[in-house]
Parts: sequence; structure tokens; C-alpha cells
Amino acid sequence: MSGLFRKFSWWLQRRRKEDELRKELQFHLAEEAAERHAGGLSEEQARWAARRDLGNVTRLQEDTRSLWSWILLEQLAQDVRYGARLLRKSPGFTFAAVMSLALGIGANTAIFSLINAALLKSLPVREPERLIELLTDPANGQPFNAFSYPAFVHFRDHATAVDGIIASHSSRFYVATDNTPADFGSGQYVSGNFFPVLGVTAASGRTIGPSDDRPAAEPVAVLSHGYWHRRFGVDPLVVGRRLTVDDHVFTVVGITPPSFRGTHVGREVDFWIPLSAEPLLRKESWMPRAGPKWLQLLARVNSEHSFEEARAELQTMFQTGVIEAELGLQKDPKPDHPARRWRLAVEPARAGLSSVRHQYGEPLLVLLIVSGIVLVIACVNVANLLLARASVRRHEIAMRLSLGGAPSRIVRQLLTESMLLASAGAVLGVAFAFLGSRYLLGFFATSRTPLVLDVGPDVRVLTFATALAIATGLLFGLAPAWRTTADAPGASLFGSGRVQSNRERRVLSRLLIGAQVALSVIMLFCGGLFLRSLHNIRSIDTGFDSHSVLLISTDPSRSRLTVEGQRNALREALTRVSAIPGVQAASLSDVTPIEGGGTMLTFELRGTDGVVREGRSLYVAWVSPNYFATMDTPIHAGRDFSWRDAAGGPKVAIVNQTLARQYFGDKNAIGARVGSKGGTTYEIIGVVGDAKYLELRETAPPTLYLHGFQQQGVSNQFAIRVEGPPMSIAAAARDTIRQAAPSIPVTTIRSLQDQVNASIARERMLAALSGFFAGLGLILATLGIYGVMAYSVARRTGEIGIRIALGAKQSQIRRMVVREALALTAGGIAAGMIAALLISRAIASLLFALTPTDPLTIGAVVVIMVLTGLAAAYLPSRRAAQLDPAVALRNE
Amino acid sequence: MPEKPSPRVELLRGTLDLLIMRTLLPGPSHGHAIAKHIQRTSEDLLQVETGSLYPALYRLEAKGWIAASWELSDKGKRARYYRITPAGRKQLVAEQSKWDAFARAMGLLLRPAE
Repeated sequence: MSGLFRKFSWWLQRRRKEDELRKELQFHLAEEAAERHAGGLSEEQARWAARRDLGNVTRLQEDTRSLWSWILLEQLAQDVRYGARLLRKSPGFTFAAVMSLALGIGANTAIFSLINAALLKSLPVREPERLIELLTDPANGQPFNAFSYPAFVHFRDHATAVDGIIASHSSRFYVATDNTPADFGSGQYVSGNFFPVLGVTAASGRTIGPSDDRPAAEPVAVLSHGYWHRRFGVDPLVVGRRLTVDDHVFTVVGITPPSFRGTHVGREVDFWIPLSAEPLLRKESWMPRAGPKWLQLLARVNSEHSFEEARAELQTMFQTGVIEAELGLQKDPKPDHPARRWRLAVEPARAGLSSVRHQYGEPLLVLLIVSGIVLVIACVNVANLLLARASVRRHEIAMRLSLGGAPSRIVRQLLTESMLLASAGAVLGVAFAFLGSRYLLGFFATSRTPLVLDVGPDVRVLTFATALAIATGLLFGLAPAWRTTADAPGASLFGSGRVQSNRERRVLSRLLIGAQVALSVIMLFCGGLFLRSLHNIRSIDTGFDSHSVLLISTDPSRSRLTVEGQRNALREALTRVSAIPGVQAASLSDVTPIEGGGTMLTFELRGTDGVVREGRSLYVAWVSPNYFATMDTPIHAGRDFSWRDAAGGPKVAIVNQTLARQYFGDKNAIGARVGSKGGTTYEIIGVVGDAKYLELRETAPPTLYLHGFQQQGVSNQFAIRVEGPPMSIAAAARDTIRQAAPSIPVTTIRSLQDQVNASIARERMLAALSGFFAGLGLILATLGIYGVMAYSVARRTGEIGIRIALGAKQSQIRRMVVREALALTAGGIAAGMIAALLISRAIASLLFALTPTDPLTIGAVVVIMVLTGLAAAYLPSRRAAQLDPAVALRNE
Repeated sequence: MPEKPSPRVELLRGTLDLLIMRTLLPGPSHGHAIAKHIQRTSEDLLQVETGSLYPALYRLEAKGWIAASWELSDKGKRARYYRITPAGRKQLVAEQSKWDAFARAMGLLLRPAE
């Protein structure tokens, strides 16, 4: 029987063992007494002598008991029970502490779960740590993962250090099933070895294999688990069904497991089709061409080679086989061709393609730091609450110390209480985080490139939360625990020395409050700057009115109509949409404001005075009649486009004020001509107000508007000005368009306001989150100041009683308390403001039309903080002023 | 106040285990008897503290060197009797030779002339 096993079996029957020991000791006593009695002592004396001889029985039992008990564990259980009982007894304190921690831990965990989902989680594939990503490093910018098909073939056929190179390319397709109408879906071309190399097997049916990725192979598709749910309603017989992708029929051969969502974290994939289907779907295939860089490449390093060897091999192949080959194809390769500076970069791809990491890594880390500050404030808060409580428990602790309790044992017990608080905070915090991370994701989902992430808590997130709980428990628990036991027990018990230890504790708690106020000031200041910055962006004069405008995009190129047919169908649709009740104006255009894209062209401008100027990089927009009415952009001179212009009239153009001023000065722009060198020329018929084009932050660029129905292409975006909320007529407008132009698919529907908001998603996120965190910090600071003031008043009850008894007025007492609170706050404000001004320089680049030393923000922060101090002092000061001197003095 | 010289010797650390096992070598005995035996055999020079005797007994039992059972004492009372196990005998031999070597070394160093 091994020692540990015996110990465990003794522990199981520990009651019996203790009973045994007691009986054994009784026997010992009886024997000893009998012996002494025989030695001549009286029976009574003999019993006492035996008892004395035995010594400290409790100690003996304790020593023996340690043989069958796990002392630490049992004491821990004891501490936990005791701590829980104490916390239950003071619900106010417990609530304040647990909530502080829950908010702090919750904020951090929420942000961490986003970081985890976007940056840390491994792909659910075989040996993800052996995956690498191939990137072209252009030497003067961000490396990008995009390669031509010939480059992919070269890598695939020659690399020896890898077990396979896989290629993929995402695209939007117009997808119909046998019983649902066509709709847009995100598909991904993949090479035939994509699934085998990743080691992903189908949840149902099979995946795409090398035999599917051949010219003339039967077109097949594999559905993602999510798409199977959304689009096919979990149809169990989906394998074998038809999927019509851009008018070509594919056979569904399988469904991927729910965990696999592609290699590009953050981007949703609905279905996968073989790369060999690309020539079928694209009018002019990119496969034979070295120009288009469209494939994302991943490779799996094989077990015989290291990461470094694979990198070296691929880099050599890239220089010789890819770049040189591509330059060799050109008739006259320039010696300074930028491709000569390109190098191959290789990155680990355990967590998938890197573009999401590059895009969101930094903002997420900044947010983690901000939420970290919130957690520190929360810890300071709880430490302060514990300090205040420690004074209440001074007698209890002193009693325990003087009865022989080891200080280390008492510190352990106090720390257990802190840990209990931290654990409760963590549990609640994880719940907050779960809700919060969904809310956070909303910010990313409304940006221009929506991010789709699985932010559910996993082992890593829970480990993070647990580590936070332990760290915070130590952080806020250690100092108070140490302070509490550092008092000499006698002094505390008998009241002398109280002054000394109190002063120390008060200094400590004041320092903590000062730090808390300072941190709050920093957060308030940053939050204020971000809010002001957002407000500045929001109040930019855009030159159009984004309220009440609905945008509906269509894709006429998907229809089989001629360009003329597309144009007629859309014009018919526009006429019908304009007739919908509630529609004030409607128009078609190629590009809508703040969409983030557009056209820039160079034109020649010939003024009415005959002077010709070259207009470089003019922004061009093709718009239909009524566009300016729809956008509420004023026409300052001349007229709007008309439908008569469209019917074979002379080519016309409208310019904005900036263009008119830049190129025609104070002369009249109307009647001037604009045109491409040797091409069509347009007569300028109107001048409209400036409007933002690509971005809200830019100054309105010189913009040339051309008639959308006088061009080669087709204006495909409906803009509809509505009375009331724009989405209210979304369904009616969509149906009207579908009826008038049944073959032209509707791609997206959104309000112009949403489109504008999407362009400032980062600003909105920064303002909302920093504002939220600042508010959180402020609440915590208020609680902190209140706690210290309340404690201070309670401690000075006697003194205040004497003051009142000696004739101090209520108002004087109140002023005394308030002055103390303000003094406490003022120090924190001063320190925080200095730090905030230093820190704010770092965020200057994130601010719009705002200096980081914005006086308005500084003033607001100071006022808010002072008001906070006053508010926190209100209740304690009232309590102090209303003290009954008789009662107060009796207590003392 | 100068300390009175005590006729008794303090037990050296670790020697109590050795003494208990040696006491049990002739046959089983209960705790009180073990203490008395050590005391008497050492001509009252060694006093076994009850506070350390019982924890030591349980410790030795936990290690498997001695075993215990409830039996009737010579006076007809139920007492916990300890007996040495084969593992305990082995341990005793090892400890004893270690002790012998230590005692010899101490003797040589403290009384080099003799």
C-alpha cells in the first residue's frame, strides 16, 4: 500500500481515525493516572498529573490529523465558506465589488474574444501549425496574397519542401436552386487539392478533389454548413441537387463540417467550386494570363522540411520562376519595372489568411489597452472598498492574531475572500462579455468589408478570463490584506496606536482614489476627443442630404439583355419606382456618394473664352435626371439633366462649384465644353453645389457629372428619396424593380445613411467604446470617492459630533466634507490631465479636425470630474450634517 | 537567571522513530508502554513527550513500518497495539547502522585521546 493511497483511505475514514486517536489518548491517560496513583498520589492528583503530562491535546490531535488530511485544501474550503458567509452578510459591499470587477473583466474578455476569433484561433484543419501563407512583398507597402494562375502552377509543380500548395479565390455569384429564385452568394474557387491538403473532410457527401479540378470535368459544388442551413433549410437530400451559378449548372456533392468556414477568417463562404470552372463563369478567363493576380495561396510544409527551408525554396522559385518568367513575357520589360523589387514573404497561416490580422490587429489591441485601464480602475475601487472594510474588521483580525493565528494564515484567508470576489466578478464578466462581443461585432459588420466571426467563448477566452480573475484578485487583495495584518494586535485591540495605523491607511486609500480619478480623467479625455471628432465628422457639410434616401443596387450585367435592353428596363423600373406613394424623387447613377469607389479621369476643358486647360484626375459620376433632387444637392446655375437629352440630344455635362472655380475662375462655366482628347465632348449645362465623393474626410473634389443615359455603360444604382424612414419602402421598391426588370438581379439594399456610417465605422467604434469605457470609469470613480467619503464621515463621527455640539452650523459641516472630497478629486484631476495631454498626442492621427489639446474637451472633463466629486460627496455630507451630537458622542 | 542544568537529555530529531521501532522489536506494545519503556531503559534520561509520540506512531503507521490493531491489555482494557512490520525491520536495520556510524564518529571526535 503506497503512502498516498493509505493517506487517501485514512482521509475517507477520517472520522473513525479521529475517534480511534481519542480513545487511544483516553487509554493513555488512564494508564498514566493508574501508574501515578500506584506511585502514591491521590486519585484526583494522579488524574491531573497525567493530564498535565499529556500537554496540549488539541495540538497533538492537530499534528496527528495532518497525516490523513490535506491541510491546505481543508483550510481553503474553510476559508471559502467563511469568506462566502462574510460576503453574504454585507450585500452592498459585495454588490459594488462584484459589479466593478464584472464590468472590468467583462470589457476585457469581450475584446479578447474578438481578438481570439479574429487573430488567434487555429483553423479547424489538420496540423494548422504547418500551414504557411505566401505573400508578395512589394518593398514599399503592405504584403499582399495575390498570385497569377501560372505562378500557382509553377509553385505547385516544383516545390519540394511542401506537401501541397492550395489556391483559392472568392467571388460573388448569382445563385439559383431548383426551388428558390436567384440570389447573391459568396463562392470560392479552389484548387483540387484544397480540401485534401487542409485535411477537411465532408460532413455529408464528399469534398472537391483533384479529379474535379480538370478542364471538362463535371462542374461540382460543395456547400458550407451555414449556407446549407440558410439556403436549403437543412434539406437532408441536398447532395446531388443542382445549384445554378451564374446560369451554369453545378451538382452539389457535399457539405463541409460546421466548424470549417474557409481559410479567410472573418469572411463568409457559401460554397466552393473547382478552379477549373473559372473559364466557364468568367467571360475572359484569367487562368492562362500572368497579369491578373487573383489567387490566394497557402502551403503545407511537409514533415521533412523546416519552415525556413520551405521559405528559402519558395523565395528562389518566386524570383526565378515567377517574376523572371512574367517579365520575360513582356515585349519590352523596363529595367525599373516595379515587379523587380517584389520579394516573396512567407508567414505562418495557423489562424488563416493574414489580411484580417493586418486590418484589425491594431485597433483591437488599442481597445484591449483601454479596457485594461477600466479593469485597473475597477481593481483600485475594490481595493479601496476592502481597505474601508478592513477598518471594520480590525478587531476581528487583531483578536485572531493575538490568539495565535499566523499572519500568513490570515493573509491567506483575506486573499481567499478577494479571490471569491474576483471569481464572482469573472463569472458575471464572462456573461457580460458574451453579450458585449456580439455588440462589438456589430461595429465590424457595418463597416465596408463586413467581418463575420464566431466570437463564442472557447477554452482560450475562458482561460483569459480566469487569469484576469486571479490577477485582479491578487492586485486588489494583496495590499489591503498586508495592511490589515501589519497592525500590532495589542495596539488594535486596546485602541492605542489606532491613530498611527489609520493615518497610514487613509493615505493609502487617498492615493488610490487619486489614481482612480486620474485614470478616469485620462479615459474621459480620450473618450471626449473621440466623441468630438465623430461629431465633427458627422457635422461635415457633405453637399447632399443622406437622410431618407434608400439605395438599391442592381447588376444588369447578369441579365441576358443587350445594353440597350438593360437601359430601357432600368428606366422603366425608375419610372415605376418614382410613382410609389411616399417617393419624393428617384434617380439612377453609376456610383453613389461615400460608396468608397468611383472613377477618376483626365479631361480637356475648353472655356467659353476658348482657353483650353487640362483637367487631371477629375472625379466622374454618371447620373440620371433627378439625381441632384434625390440627393438634395442644389443646382446653382443652369439646369439638371433631362430625359430629352437622353433621346439623342447633344452630349451634356454638369460640374460642381469647385471644378467651375478651379478651371473657369469667375467666368461662367455654362456653355464651356469638356471632353477627352480627340474623343466625345460634352457641353456644360449646369453648376451644382460641392458634394463629397469617396470619403467624408476629403474636401469635395472637382467633380464632373455626365448623363447616365448618354453613355456606353448602364447606370445601375437606384437612389430614392422617401418621406419618412427610407427602409419603409424598401420591399415595395425592390418588388417594383423586379417586376419592371425581372432579369436584372437586385444586389444590395441599404440606406444612404448606413452607407455613410459604414465609411466612418472606425470613428463610430472608437467614440462609442471609449465613451462607454469612460462612463464606466466615471461610475467606478464615483463609487470610489463615495466609499472613501462615507468611511471618512463614519470615522469622524465623534469629532463632527463635538463640532456640532460646540455650535457648528449644518452648512459648515457640509462644506467641510465637500471640501475634503474636492481636495481628493482635484489632485487626481491635475495628475490625470497631465497624463491625458501626453497620451492624447498618440491618438492625434485618429482625430478629425481637432487638436489633441482641445480646450473644450479639457474644460468639459474638469467640469464633469468636479461634479462627480460633488455628487459622490452629497450623501456623506448630508449624513455628517444631520448627525445628532448626543448620539454621536455616546457612540464614542 | 541562569538555567538549571537538567538531568534529562532532549531527544535528537529523527531518533524517536528509531527508538519506537527498536522498542517494538521484541513484540507488540501500546503507546503508553512504549513511552515508559524508552524512559526506563534510558534510566530516565530520555523523556518521550506524549505530544510527539502519537503523531510519530501514526506517521510510522502511514509509512507502513509499523501496524496497529485494537487488543485487550494485560489489565483487560481495550488498547491500540503496535507491531513492527517486515518493512519496518528493514528500515530499523538501516537506521541503526546509520546511527552506529554517527555515534562512533561523535565519539572519535569528542574523545580523541582515549
